[in-house]
Amino acid sequence: MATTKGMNLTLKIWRQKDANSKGKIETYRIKDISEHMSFLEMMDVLNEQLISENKEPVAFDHDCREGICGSCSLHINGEPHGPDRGVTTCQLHMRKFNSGDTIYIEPFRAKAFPVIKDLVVDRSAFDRIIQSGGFVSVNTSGNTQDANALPIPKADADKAFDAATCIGCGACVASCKNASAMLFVSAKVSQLSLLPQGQVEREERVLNMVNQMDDEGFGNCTNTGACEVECPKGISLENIARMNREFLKATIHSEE
Amino acid sequence: MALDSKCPTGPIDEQWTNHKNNINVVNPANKRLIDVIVVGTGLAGGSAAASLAELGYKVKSFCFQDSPRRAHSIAAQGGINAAKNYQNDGDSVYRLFYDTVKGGDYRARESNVYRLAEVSTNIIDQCVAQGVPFAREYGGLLDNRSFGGVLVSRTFYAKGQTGQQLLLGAYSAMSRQIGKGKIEMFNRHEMLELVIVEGKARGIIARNLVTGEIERHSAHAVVLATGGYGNVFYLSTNAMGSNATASWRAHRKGAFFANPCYTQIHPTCIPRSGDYQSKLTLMSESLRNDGRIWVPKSIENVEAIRTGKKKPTELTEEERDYYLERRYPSFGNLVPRDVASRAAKERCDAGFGVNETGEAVYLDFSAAILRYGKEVATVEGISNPSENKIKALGEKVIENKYGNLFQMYEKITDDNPYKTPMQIYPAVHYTMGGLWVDYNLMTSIAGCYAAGEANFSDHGANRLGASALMQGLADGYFVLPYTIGDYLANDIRTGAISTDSVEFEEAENAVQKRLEKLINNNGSKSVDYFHKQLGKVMWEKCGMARNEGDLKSAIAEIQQIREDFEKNVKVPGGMFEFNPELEKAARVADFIELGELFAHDALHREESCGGHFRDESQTEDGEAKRDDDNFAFVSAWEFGVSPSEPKLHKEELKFSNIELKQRSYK
Amino acid sequence: MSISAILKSSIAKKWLMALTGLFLCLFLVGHLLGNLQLFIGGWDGTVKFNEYAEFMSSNPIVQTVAWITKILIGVHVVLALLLVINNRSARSTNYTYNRPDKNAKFSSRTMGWMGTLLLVFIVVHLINFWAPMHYDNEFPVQLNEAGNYYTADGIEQVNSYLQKVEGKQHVFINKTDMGLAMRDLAKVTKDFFSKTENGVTALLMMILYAIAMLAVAFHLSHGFASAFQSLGINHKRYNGMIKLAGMAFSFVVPFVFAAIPIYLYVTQA
Repeated sequence: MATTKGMNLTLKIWRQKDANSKGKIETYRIKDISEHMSFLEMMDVLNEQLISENKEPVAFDHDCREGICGSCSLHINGEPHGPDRGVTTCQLHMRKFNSGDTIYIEPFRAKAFPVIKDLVVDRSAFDRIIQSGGFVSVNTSGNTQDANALPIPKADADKAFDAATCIGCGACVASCKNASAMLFVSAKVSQLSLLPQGQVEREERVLNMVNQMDDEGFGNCTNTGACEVECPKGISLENIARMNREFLKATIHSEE
Repeated sequence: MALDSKCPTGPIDEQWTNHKNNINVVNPANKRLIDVIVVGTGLAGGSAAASLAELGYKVKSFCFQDSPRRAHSIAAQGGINAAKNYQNDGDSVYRLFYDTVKGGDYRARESNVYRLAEVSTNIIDQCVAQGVPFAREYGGLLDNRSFGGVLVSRTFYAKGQTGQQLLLGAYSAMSRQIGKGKIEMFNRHEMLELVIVEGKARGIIARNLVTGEIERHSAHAVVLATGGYGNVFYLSTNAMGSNATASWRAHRKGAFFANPCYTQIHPTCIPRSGDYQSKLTLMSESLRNDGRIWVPKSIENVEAIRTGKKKPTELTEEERDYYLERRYPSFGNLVPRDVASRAAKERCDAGFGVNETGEAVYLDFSAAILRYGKEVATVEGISNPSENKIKALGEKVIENKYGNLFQMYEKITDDNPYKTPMQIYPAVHYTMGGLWVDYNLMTSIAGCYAAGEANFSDHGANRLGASALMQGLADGYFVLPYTIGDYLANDIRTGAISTDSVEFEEAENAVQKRLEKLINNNGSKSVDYFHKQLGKVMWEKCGMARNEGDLKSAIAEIQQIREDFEKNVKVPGGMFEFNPELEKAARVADFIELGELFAHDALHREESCGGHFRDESQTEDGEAKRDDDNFAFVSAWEFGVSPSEPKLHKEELKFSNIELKQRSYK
Repeated sequence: MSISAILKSSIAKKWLMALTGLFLCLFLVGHLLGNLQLFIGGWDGTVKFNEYAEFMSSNPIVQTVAWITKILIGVHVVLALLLVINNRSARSTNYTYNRPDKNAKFSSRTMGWMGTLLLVFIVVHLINFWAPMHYDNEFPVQLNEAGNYYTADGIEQVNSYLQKVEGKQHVFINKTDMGLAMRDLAKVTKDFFSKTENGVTALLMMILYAIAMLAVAFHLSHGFASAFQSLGINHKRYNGMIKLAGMAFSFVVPFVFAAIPIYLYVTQA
């Protein structure tokens, strides 16, 4: 993998001191970026440069850098996780850009995702949604029934798995013109409603989770499909439809 | 201080049951009066926090990430072992126990490993009950696959995302307890000190990473489930935030650190592409089922490939050196991880590395593609298929098996692994060493527990594939919740622990001082500069092969790095704000100290075993040579007066159920 | 679930949007079928269209449906407003640089705008035709060459009445005076888009109507299939069909609607 001639880039980055400060876009220039770098490695280089210039480095969330933890959350040139498809920001590589490009880098924007600093946002709204019902109420016990006592059709298991691969990064919210969290919530609702283990709490779960989602201040679904396009894990819109069905059934049944 | 492993006696298959029957239990009403701090929310920490809260303890859970779901357990790909014997291939608790002890090159405690194997089956039941979508067969029952180093199929998996699915299971169990108010969750909080009151762990000092505030948190017991220390090498498959600070702080307060030199270096990772590289990406071990590993036979061809004059696909079979098949005819490309890694290093050191840095070998699927293509052509009755047709059919088979991995590889390298061989190179992946714990998972500090990769664990000197997930969940779901009661039973009348004591004050002041020093240092070099320096020394001198000379110079160099760091590190920003550079600086400071202990341990252990290979201790044909007479013990290091003077304690390892043998894969 | 809880819930609002939207699609079909009669030329066409208009505004069932339609349009609009307000507040700070075109179709991103345009159009449309027909006392009645006017019951003589209103180019009647007289909506409509009658205004109106139908097309091209998704109808086997039906519907219906004023403008030289 040859390090071909480096790229020179202009970066327009959202800087915001803390949650209460007003932020603004700042411009930085960066040279000799290898096309083999990941986007976050480019950000590392920028930060090293800023530190050496006695400026404050840019804060951004990142951790596993292999596309699975869901930490990284940059809105790059108008799209969450940038122009590549099926990848998180950490898997986006600089070869997707050209020397001379101007790159806009902003935090994921939603009222429910307040900015903590620069490009770091608070996504604990997602955690609270899961806390409201994204689980099967089973205590730890060495005496649960044998795993194979519960056969599950492969197709259901596979579909549940596909929904369960959501990494909770929030790109769905970031890409949605309404900052809706429907794709995220529906992925969890789908996973558990497709599996026999999830049946007992099926109705309560969807009502509680949707309720929490609305309380967190996420927007509504216009079915634009932007979330599905930008989702690094390819979570399908089918899940949203399933949640709509589940919600309908649960609402009709509900005695409250 | 004497090391008492508190291992039960009696027949090995009755030890855990008897132990559970004989330890103290806290009654449900009293559990409400007891606080437990759990640091880390990976498989071990998440499952422990959830289980303890279900039992009724008041749990405070901490993670430095923005959500407990992001702990690095999430990145585990392959699977989780369990002795279910669903495949009816003769698996049993004993066989899993045996494979794990042998795989660990006979450097693990028999009692612990047997318990691990015993509870492994409960894990699968528990996870399925939680809704973890494991892979299934068409009949609706769970599917298994086989992994390196064993003769049965006992690995449960969820495509290449098993760790993610298991972690999300533990996370959802935790979330349920958070929703109920049984767990108080502190995300974006980092533990920076352990507080010891009257010889017992009674709390932690944590920094709120958003506001920078330093907080005191008290509890009757502290569980550290903070993962491994692979990032001491700077480049590893660990997450960027994975750190050893919690363990190291406990170590400095009296917890012994066991076997720090036992590191697993995984053979199939994507090679480094430049100095800017921040992390390495693993390609699942399963690829070695169909990929053949080779380098060119002649240096001329290596040169031609490096300069781009030749493509690897242009080399004839005669010009290729399938060195694993050559050296290990019976296991071939499927030798265990440590063996495969060392063999790659040997070829690259000899100058046969195929990329610019000279640190890459080929993992080639072309033979498998042709083989599968021909098979499919036969099945589909295609007569005289063209070469292209065969390739297309074969590529489809490979895509079904490894599609997501191939895609990931292509995204990172921009090379199409269907058309040209993958480049791979070993990378640091897992650390078997960690805090020394007894059978109850208590460290040498009363009331301070360590679980998962953070403890020195059950893997001895080498971990088998798909065993890390098993151990993390075993500790958290099925071991700690019981064993911790034995200790806490004495605390039912203690009442809430005050954070106003002088011990908390001192600990907080110490943290404050440490951070202030970093912030006010006004040096000239960034934290990453030092981390890279440390990583370079660790990789070159404490990496896949170690020798006395290198280790001694490593110790000296690390000491120098430490001095340089203290003088010259530059941390921008302030203390009371969101400051990622400050977080890194505190972690790297601890890594530097740990790195030195690592080298001391490696130097002291003059045998080769598992992931620890000493050049001085090898067989005539270059294989690892264990020395059971002199080194059948756990090295448990006590922090001395300085990081350079650790004190060694030995826990002898006795093998009464398994006979010690030299491993061979020829 | 209580009504207020349902109204608070994002998903419940979306079903109501979907249900009202699909109902309005049905309404469009009915409206279009009626309008097709404007293509029928000559005397027969005029009679048919006016009889149809008379039927639509007097039949009690049709009237009930008409009221339901009006209410549902109201519900659709009010819900849309609530949703838009909610959606706007869900992103308090906008992106400095955003490329929504990279991940979502134009039609799906402009449902609110197209809907607003449609609402404006509906109001204009009602002012143009529906309001005069119902409230303009001097709305023309249908006359044949002999000066007979038509009622829903048959032909009657109005010569004497006609004399009272001489001096006007068109013949208007006082609806209340005339009882069952059949209003000449066909003539009003045709004149509305007639070059000779209204010159430039007719051209502008034709263009306005065509543009409005373009808005209908965009609104439907997303709205039709989207309604199914909101109702939870998403199935691999049928998705293609729903999408195709939606695209066909959103093309054919507005196209034919738009063809009418264009046809009238062009043919009435």
